[in-house]
Amino acid sequence: MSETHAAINVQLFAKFREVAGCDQLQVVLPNGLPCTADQVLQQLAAQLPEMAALIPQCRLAIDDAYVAADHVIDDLNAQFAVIPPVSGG
Amino acid sequence: MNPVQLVESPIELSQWEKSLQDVDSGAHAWFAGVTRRKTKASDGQIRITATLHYEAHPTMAVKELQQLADQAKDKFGLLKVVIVHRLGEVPLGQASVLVGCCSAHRKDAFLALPWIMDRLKEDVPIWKRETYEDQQTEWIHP
Repeated sequence: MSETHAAINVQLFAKFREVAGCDQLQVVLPNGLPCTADQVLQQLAAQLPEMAALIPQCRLAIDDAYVAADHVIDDLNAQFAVIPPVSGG
Repeated sequence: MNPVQLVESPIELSQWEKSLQDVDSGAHAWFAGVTRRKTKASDGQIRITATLHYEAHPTMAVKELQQLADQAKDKFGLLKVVIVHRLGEVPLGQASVLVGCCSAHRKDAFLALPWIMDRLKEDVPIWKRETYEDQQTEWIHP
């Protein structure tokens, strides 16, 4: 049975944080759970259209680890973060 | 001293040298990435940087750096690895990252440094923001 009107809090960094003006954003999952990491990123793009062009290069991290685009999310209380292309070093 | 660290103060090589001490090591190799003044933009123009600022997803960055250090040890037979990344403002000419490793023979330590840096630049969630001399700022998302 899917949960409807679910939402998750996604941590934002770097340009995402600057554009959103906050360090986390509640991302609404229109179809509830389960959903994939890619669906979260697409929904984030819809909610933050200024960053939509960068979304294809972004990865989702859950509990401090990258997940693949087709990773199925089943826990709303995990720690989510959008990771844009990195530039450390 | 934890061999993988995010710091907010200047990175001094002398503070870290002893962390590679190992009587079975015959080679210590170090790399320091240093903030640079000139950057060539995609249109070929040279932009002049005034200062740089680094930000991380701190818990994930430490975890990724630790994994990277462990993988490098396995791949190159290293005895020890040190990775230190600075966050916050890093004035020009100062180290933003320091990587050190030691191995029994020099070849492995030499090979490991670029391998570690290439992966750090791919996967470790750390970002830099350039502030140019005209005070424009830009997050770098290559």
